[in-house]
Amino acid sequence: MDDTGADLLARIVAGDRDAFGAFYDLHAPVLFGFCVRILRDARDAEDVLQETFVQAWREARRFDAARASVRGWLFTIARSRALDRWRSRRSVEKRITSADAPDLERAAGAAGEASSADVRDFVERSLAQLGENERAVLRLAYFEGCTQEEIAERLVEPLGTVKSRTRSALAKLRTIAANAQKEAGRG
Amino acid sequence: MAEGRDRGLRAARAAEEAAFWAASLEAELDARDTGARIEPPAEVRGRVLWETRGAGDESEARTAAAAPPDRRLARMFLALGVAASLLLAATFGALWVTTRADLAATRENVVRLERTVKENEKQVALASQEAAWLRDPRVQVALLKGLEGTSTARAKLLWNPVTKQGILWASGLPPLPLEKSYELWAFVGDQPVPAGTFDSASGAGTVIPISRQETLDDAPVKFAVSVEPKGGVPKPTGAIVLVGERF
Repeated sequence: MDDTGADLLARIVAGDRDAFGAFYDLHAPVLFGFCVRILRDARDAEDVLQETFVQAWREARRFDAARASVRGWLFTIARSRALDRWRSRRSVEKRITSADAPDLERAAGAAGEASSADVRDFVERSLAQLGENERAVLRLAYFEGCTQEEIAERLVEPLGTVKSRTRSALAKLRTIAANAQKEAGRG
Repeated sequence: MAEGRDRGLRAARAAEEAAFWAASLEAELDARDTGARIEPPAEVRGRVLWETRGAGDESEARTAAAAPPDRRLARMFLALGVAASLLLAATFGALWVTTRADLAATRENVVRLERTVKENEKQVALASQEAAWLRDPRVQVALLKGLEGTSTARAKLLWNPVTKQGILWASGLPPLPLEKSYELWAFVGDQPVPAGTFDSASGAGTVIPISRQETLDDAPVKFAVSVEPKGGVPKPTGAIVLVGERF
């Protein structure tokens, strides 16, 4: 398992702020590239990067090297914070867009907002359309929040196999999601 | 009927969020495989270190408390403890604990408020931008609707024919592969003129400023958005996903 930064994290747990600075310098550029790519907005990406490292500092002692690499753990935090930011931004933009579009967009206010149960239900139904191997990796990733390393360990499969299976499953999930959006638009 | 429409919208939102989640996990896999890096602005590092400063003090305090006590100091404190009244010590102890708890709560509140202020500033900036455009009597409005295959997509375009600039709010557009981008077209007569490119944020709403378009001599009456190679092309080649006229 990639343990880049694990020694720094051990010092961070002891309250070493110099180690935290070095930890930031080591991981921030890769995480920032990731945040920019998924949020497509530099200011949002900066905010999410900041929230990620603040959370990492506060929860450093909860990190379990047996469950994930340091980088995998950081990505898990960053993805969660990015999803929160995406939801918040979507809510603001929806309000602006619906300002004078009288029918569909206005109706998509609070009444049309998906709950987390709706999303989980959608993913559950989508997984039923995947093969058994792909279903297994996405189930662990989505419902249990497992990192790729954890999934590899749980399924007793090489990490590379798990990654390629995950990619294939994600591509199918995105197609299913796109079709569902079209279907909802027609309905 | 309204209930059915609400259910449909919720299903669309759920699919949209699942797509974002899938895109984020794909991006993580790419980032971890390629190690692609973008240096964040230096001030972000400063903000992170500032925000963790309070928590750091607590960590250091905890570390110090866990360290073996110095025997001479311990004897001295023991002597002082005997001399002082137990009641006074208990009072100060309680006060200390209360103050620490208050301080920690205050720090949390400050961080939370800072986040709220930042978010509000962003919303105010967006609203101000929109208001400035709407106040300008020269500005024309066009509503663009999705076509077959992108029927949930919508966009609102504010266009200033004098400055030849615009601002576009788009939502519901599907995410594109990295080598593609959306391109806005302004029609002068029947001729499409390129008016800028943008990327979709994984299907979420996107605010896109359209920079000054020098080639647009006449005011356009119709607008469209198509999928084109990254960076845009001089004439449309890909599928039209949004279309609408100004009014």
